[in-house]
Amino acid sequence: MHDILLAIYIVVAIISAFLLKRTDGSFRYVALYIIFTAITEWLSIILIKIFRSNTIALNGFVVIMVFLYYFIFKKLWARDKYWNVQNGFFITVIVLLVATTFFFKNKDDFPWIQILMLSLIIIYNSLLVLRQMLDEPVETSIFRQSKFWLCSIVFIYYACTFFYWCMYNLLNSEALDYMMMFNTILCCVFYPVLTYSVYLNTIENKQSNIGG
Amino acid sequence: MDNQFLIITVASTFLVVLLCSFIISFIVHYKRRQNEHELEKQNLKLEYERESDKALLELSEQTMRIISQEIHDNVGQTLTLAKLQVNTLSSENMINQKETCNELLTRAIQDLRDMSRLLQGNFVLEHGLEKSISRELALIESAGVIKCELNSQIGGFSFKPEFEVILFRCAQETLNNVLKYASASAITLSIYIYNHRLIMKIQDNGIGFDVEKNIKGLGLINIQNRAKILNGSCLIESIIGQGSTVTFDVPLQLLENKN
Repeated sequence: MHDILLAIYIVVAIISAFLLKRTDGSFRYVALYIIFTAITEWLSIILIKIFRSNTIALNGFVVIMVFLYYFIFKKLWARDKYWNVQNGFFITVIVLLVATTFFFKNKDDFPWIQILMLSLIIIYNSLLVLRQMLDEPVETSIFRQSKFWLCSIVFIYYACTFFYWCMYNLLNSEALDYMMMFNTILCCVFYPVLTYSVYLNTIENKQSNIGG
Repeated sequence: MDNQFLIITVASTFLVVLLCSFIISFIVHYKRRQNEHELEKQNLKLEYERESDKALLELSEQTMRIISQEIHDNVGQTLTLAKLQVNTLSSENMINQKETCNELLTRAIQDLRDMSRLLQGNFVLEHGLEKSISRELALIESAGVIKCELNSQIGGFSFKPEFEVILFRCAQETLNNVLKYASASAITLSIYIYNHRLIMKIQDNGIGFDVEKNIKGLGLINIQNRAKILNGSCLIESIIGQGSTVTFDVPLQLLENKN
């Protein structure tokens, strides 16, 4: 299963790199996020083979990830009057998360506390963006809206991730492996859907350019 | 051990079902909102069309009244006088009466020409808004009573001809009001683009009037209706003894000729 996921990472990263120039706003950061994830996952495999540990790469990636998500939601919220409140909340979590990574936790530990913090803020933000979509509906079918795919898959993925890491300390290693399988399946869906949202964004940009 | 697997499986399944149900209910709710939004838009469009039709109807009624009044007060009266002169023709005063008849008929023809000019939009269609307004002001100034000034900054813009006629009518009607009621010695007409809107400001230094009391008279409603047709607005300001300012504010998006 993990091999399939690694292959998916390569495919989605190549597609995202190809679409990167044609995206705008949040989706440029989404494309970058997909590329960074693929690089980190492959780097992790190399690090495991050399140093028998990949936690340094994962700790570094969580910090990059929080900034990428900050910019993703900042662009999605750009014109909203409540963004300033949201911005303060997000920045507080970023500071806490970075501080945890660099000062409070051993860099050899898996960054699960940071992932929990990040999951919470991402769930909250994606729900707010979905709510914003309900307040300002557009004519385009919801299934052709990049924002919908991005927010719903991010919401589902991080809700599951949050649940998974909440259970992390409660389960034994075999049960954790079993849960890891769920997580891998989820990743196999998450990254292609993210890439699909990036692709939809390029189509939306093309249409808005034609429309003048 | 088996217990843990069972808990994980049940909890994971429950979570996935819960999340999927949330997304499905979001989609359903979003579609409902989309339909409501679409309905609101259609209602607004209908309302706008209804308002436009109403305004157009009122305008045509007003125009009919003006024509009827002009025929009755000017042309009708002049022709009646001419008829009287013809009926009372006598051999001893023939030359004088013939001259009077000639004058009266010439005046009637001139009145009809003026009325025709007032109603015809051909000049605007052929020469555009700026030139038509300039010509109108020149005509007013040629009487030698009122000094007119035109400040135009719309040289590079191309507007839809049908809207140019409506805008011209707005200017014409306001100028007619100034001529009839303001006792002004100067008129300044400024027309420019500001913030994607066309602004046309007509100022006079006349006696002014109470806007609130006279809003239903003086053809002011008529002027505002014309602005409404263009999806714009018309602001009338006046200070007694200091003159009046009428400002038309029309979105450029509707006016601009894309061809």
